[in-house]
Amino acid sequence: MASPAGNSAHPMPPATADLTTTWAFLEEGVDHIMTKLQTGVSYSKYMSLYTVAYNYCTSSRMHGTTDAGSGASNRTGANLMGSDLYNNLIRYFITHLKLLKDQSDSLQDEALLRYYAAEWDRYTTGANYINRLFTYLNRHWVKRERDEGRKGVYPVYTLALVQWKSNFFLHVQSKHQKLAGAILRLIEHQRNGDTIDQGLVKKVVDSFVSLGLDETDINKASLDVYKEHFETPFLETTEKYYKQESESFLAENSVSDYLKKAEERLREEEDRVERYLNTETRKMLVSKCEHVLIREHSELMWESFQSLLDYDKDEDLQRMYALLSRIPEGLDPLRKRFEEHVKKAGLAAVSKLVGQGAEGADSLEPKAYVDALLEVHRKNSETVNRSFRGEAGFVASLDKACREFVNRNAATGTSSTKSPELLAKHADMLLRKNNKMAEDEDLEGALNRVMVLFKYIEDKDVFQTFYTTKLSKRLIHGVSASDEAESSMISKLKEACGFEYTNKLARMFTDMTLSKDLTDQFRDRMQQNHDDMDINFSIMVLGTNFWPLNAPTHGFTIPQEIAPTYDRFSKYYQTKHSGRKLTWLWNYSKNELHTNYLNQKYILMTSSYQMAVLLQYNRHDTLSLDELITATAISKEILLQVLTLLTKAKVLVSEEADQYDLNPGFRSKKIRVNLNQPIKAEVKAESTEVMKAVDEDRKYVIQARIVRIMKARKTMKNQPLIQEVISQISHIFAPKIPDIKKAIDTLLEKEYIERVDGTRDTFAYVA
Amino acid sequence: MGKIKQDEWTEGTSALQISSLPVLGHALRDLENLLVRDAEPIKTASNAAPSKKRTSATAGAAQKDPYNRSRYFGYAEDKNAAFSELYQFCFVLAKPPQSRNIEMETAIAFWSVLLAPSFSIVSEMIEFLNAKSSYKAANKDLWSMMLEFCRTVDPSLDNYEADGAWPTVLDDFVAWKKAGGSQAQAS
Repeated sequence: MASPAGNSAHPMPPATADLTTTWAFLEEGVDHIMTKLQTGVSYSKYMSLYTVAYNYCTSSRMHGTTDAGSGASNRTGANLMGSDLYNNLIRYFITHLKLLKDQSDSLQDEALLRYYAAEWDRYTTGANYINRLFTYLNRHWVKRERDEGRKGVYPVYTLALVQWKSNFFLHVQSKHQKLAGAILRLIEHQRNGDTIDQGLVKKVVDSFVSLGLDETDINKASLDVYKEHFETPFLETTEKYYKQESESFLAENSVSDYLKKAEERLREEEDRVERYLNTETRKMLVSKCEHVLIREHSELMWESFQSLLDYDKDEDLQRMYALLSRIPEGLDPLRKRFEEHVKKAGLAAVSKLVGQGAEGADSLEPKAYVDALLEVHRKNSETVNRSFRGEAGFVASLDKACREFVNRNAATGTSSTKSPELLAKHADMLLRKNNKMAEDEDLEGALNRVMVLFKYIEDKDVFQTFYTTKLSKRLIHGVSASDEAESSMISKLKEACGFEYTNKLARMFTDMTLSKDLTDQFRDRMQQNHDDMDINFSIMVLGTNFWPLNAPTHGFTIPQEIAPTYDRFSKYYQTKHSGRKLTWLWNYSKNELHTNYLNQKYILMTSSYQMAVLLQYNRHDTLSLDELITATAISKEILLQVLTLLTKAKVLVSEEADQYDLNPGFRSKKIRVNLNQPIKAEVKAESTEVMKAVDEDRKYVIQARIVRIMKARKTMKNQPLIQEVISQISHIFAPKIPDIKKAIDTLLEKEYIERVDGTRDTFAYVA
Repeated sequence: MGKIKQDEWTEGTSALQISSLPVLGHALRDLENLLVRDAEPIKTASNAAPSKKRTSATAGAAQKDPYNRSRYFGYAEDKNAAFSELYQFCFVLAKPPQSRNIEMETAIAFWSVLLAPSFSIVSEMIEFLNAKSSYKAANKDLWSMMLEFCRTVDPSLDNYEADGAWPTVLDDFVAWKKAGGSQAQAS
């Protein structure tokens, strides 16, 4: 058995000692541990304390007990003895804490916190040892009591905390929340910019957490004390503090400054949680701050958003975005305003441009127009990326606004085709030879920028038609800048709109290559068979369905000079591809004539009509208009324009009305004389013709789409069918419902689809 | 206009037991009164039990049918179905054999005979179609849907559904009428 400890006032009682003796010994030890642990406790002392507690619990001797709950007769000793020790421990804690209570009463604020923190440290450290000292009690008596459902019994350490809470903590708090108030005041000092002892605050706050007790499971942490005594008042004061601060700050400062302030405050509060609060508080604290600092002032921020945009205050915008993105409904008004802003900027840019041009929208330079639109897009797209972190909602607003002003602005008026037309013309300029504005690397960039706007164009089919027309001109006249750039553009369009969209364009290139080969082959063959080929001939055979070209509507008598070549090629082609029909597009052909009648040999570059007229003068020196009409079979209207050009160039002279003479004194500074100017009527007709072609195409696009949908679905109701058509076509153009209905009418008539018997609005595919 | 072949004619008239023009006229008037003018069916003794064989004449002259009315009584049992049959037959009758459609002029004439007596809206429809010269022909769908329209849509157009699957001509008509019809055009 253990021997009595050396420096103890009480000798170690024997195993059979009664409660009074035992407790006297234990109390002295407990008190030592609780109050002057710093002086140390020897191992043997500790062992003897442990042994005494153990012995007492295990002694089987019946003992008078005050514990009413332990009446069962089959209890072991520990059960009966346990309650005695337990009750004495309670009494000890109460006495011990009474002392602290008395000492703390005179303390305030920081002094109180320091005292509390120091005592807390000492108390919890001590209680930890005591807890281990009474391990046996914990393990048997306490456990059994708790297992049997007695609520008020805790392991010794927990008991110490419970006692601290009810005998000390609640006492201090009962005086106007003296403890929490002291913390809150310290925090306020810190918010006001003073330095405080954060460690102290942390210690006290942590004690609040430790005092929480979950009665149903004592091992589980509970924040009820923390929440009730600290968090709730803390959140209240926070709200009050920032409400007051934000209002007075805004009264004296600009919104820009406020944004900075609010941002800073929010960061500070988050740091505060990190530093000395329980992480549980973060969410509520942050949302409280967001409410007071942001939501309460969101109206004001929304109001000042426009001026930040107007003055390009990127940083402020960034801040406003960051702040408002923290509250769920914060960004929507910004997105709406931003959309409106971009739209206005776009419209203003175009209006300015139109206003500058003397003749307004009609004479608009495609490049200037495209550049103006692009500039608005570029600037605002940067704003989205820089200030709004490329957030999807703002991207959508930007896109929506761009779609609006790209398709409808001062230049377009009510026409939905002006924008695609100008954009296609711009692309044409870029891709033409002699384009000064595009160096090679720059060209690719410029084409990419075209695609930026292309994305917003609603009537992509109009663009397609204009583009096709322009491309065909580039190819026929050989003025395309480079095949590489052309195919790069086509692949971009293909990527944006799919294979179908660029199919025709690609076919046009195929035709060009084939034609080159065909010309070479024909030339070789002719050189073998004929030696009278004094005409240099090249041909392009272009598929009717892929090229937006129209055959001349009037007659044309092939001049006898070229008739043999014409016949030979026609025959050659027939033998090569029997059954194919060649339509000669004289209106797109061009010629070079070498003069022999002048001292100086000139090369006249002409259209076929000009050529036909001029060749007449191989046999005549003077001809009347009627004679020319008979000879060439060109309509009078066009012939007159041809003649006007020729007389203007002084190749022909007209001294009497309707009488044209060859000018024997023709002179030119250049050897190569270009007479092939476009005829006015042709230029003007182009735009309207394109629109007619587009409208016609749309009918078929809609019909084809309906047939395709119906083929897949077999039967479909009217309304879903219309919706489906719209959704499938809208990436090319926005189909109008009456047009779709007309297409349905047509398909019903052609019996591609039928109405299902007995229903009015259900259609079925007719196989 | 439609052609009726000789054997079709003989087959039809013999089934009806019609051998003179006045009797034919009588039969047609009966049919028109029944289906187009929506008159009460003629009552005869045999009405209660119409039989296919009604050749024996009964005593009273008034009881005697001038022609074989068995089909007539068949029609009288379901006038709607009978009218639909007549109406659809008329499209085929009016249609040139190679064409899918009938000319609008012809269609209007038919409608004024077939539909106008029973459906008040048809006269306005005809007015509309005459005013808009852009409609050149009526296809089968428009023909069928016209009857459907007359039967289901209220003359006030209150129950007309704009997003229904009506042919565009009918949509246009409704838009025209709602815009004030002929009055608006005149002013």
